[in-house]
Amino acid sequence: VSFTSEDVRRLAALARLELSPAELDDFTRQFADILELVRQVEDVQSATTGDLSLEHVLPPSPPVREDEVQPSLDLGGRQFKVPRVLNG
Amino acid sequence: MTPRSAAEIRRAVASREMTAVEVCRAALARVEALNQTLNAFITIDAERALARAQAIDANPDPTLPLLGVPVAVKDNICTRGLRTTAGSRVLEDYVPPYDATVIERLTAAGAVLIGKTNCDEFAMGSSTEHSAFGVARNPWAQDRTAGGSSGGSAIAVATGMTPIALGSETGGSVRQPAALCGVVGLKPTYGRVSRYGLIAFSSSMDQVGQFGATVGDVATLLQALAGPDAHDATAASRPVDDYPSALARGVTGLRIGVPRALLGDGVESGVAAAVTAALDELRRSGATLVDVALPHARYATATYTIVNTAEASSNLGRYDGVRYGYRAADATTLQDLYLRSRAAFGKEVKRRLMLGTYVLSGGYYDAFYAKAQAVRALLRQDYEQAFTRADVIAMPTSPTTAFRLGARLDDPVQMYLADVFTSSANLTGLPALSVPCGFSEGLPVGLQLTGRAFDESTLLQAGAAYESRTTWASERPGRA
Repeated sequence: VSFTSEDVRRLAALARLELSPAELDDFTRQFADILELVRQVEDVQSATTGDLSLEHVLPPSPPVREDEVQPSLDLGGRQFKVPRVLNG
Repeated sequence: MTPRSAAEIRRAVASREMTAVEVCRAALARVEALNQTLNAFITIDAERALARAQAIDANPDPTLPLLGVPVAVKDNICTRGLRTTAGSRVLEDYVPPYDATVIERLTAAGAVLIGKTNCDEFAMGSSTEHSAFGVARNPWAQDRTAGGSSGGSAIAVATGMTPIALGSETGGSVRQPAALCGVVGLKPTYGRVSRYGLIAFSSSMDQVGQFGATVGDVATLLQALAGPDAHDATAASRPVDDYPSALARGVTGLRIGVPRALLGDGVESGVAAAVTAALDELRRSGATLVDVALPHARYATATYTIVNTAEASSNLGRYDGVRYGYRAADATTLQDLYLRSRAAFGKEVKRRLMLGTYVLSGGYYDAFYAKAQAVRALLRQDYEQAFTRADVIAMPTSPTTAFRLGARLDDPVQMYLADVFTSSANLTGLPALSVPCGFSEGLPVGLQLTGRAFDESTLLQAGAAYESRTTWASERPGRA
């Protein structure tokens, strides 16, 4: 598997990450190894679409409960009072 | 001398043989004495811990299962008014305005939160070396890893700073450090414990896990945490077992499946020997060993790498400098703000976000993510098949004992392979337990037991039976 530094640069841009020159070198080298690892899944013979039994690991069980009014945030006039999350 | 187990502490505080303040002071003293060397805690919350202990002493309710018991919590679990960093510079100053559901339940059970423990950044790692707050060290050998990502919580329990601790699991982040530090670690079934307030990494696998010095303490801790939560739609509504009542059932007639084909490659001989001896001990205790096959388990690391990086690349999109965490001060455009703010991520996080972006990108989605989802379902079918012959499945928790710090930092594939035996449980959602099963060259080895979905009871039952016939639980690191 080949992975060029240009490929890595493009991925970094897609992920909104800025890489140092050292990171670019390391990732270019390491991604070839990691890609070789993940490509092992190609050996598994299976459909990836159409077989519903293979789309979910756990049987989907939508949680249901009575639709009851619960306490919510305090109202201050016509606005919600939310917890402080910023300093100052 | 403070008692070692949560059960003994609870008894002593409930009967007023000891005060919660005495217990709390002893725990804080132990943290003070050891943390400089081992770096288990990112934040120590001494003042509030003592205040909480005082409040307990003023009105001790003897029915509370964790009355006065000190607890350490991984720093990716939100604590109201106490900074929660997830081991990242990005959240260095983040002080949550709310408690995670597991924190509320710990408090309701009478526990005393001592502080927040060190971990790999956003729980991405197997060595607690990818923490922005410094490397954590194994108390059995300080030049070695404590495992990860919940390394700090494992150290806290191994050294008796706290008898119990919380971690989080995505691919083995509780069981692997538990094995490497010589304590008990549990990853419950996906959905058994609420994740409200657990900082998201890979949402189809993340789960809050439990550490204890004994299987019994882990059972008590799970009991306090498990059950539905209106704040978490993935928390299962099914009834919770009575875990402590499972502990004394023994293993007579229990069928233990051993996937021998899986255990040939890459398992250190000392680890293999300890696990084999543990299985013999379980057999002598009345269990039956049966061969099982898990043909898709060999794809676990590849599959896990695809799924966790893909989901992380989506989940960590929220750290953009706009809404959460670190914001670069000198950005001139929005793009620039994203790039400069996200520069605060460490190297492993960057690596995974890029890989995740790659496996989800156009033209690769079917080859990687959709394929990985199919392999997960096939792996789940393997386990279902195996559970027709066996009640639990046994294997090593980790293929090696604690490796040297730095040894795998430049080789991510080797680092990812640390989870080779643990990630299957996360991929399939099944519960799994690691119990200490001996030593190899002075370093702890863990035996891993995987069970049917929502059958934590059988795991705890088998773990407790094994523990009662061995002395590993009482072995403590000498120099710590």
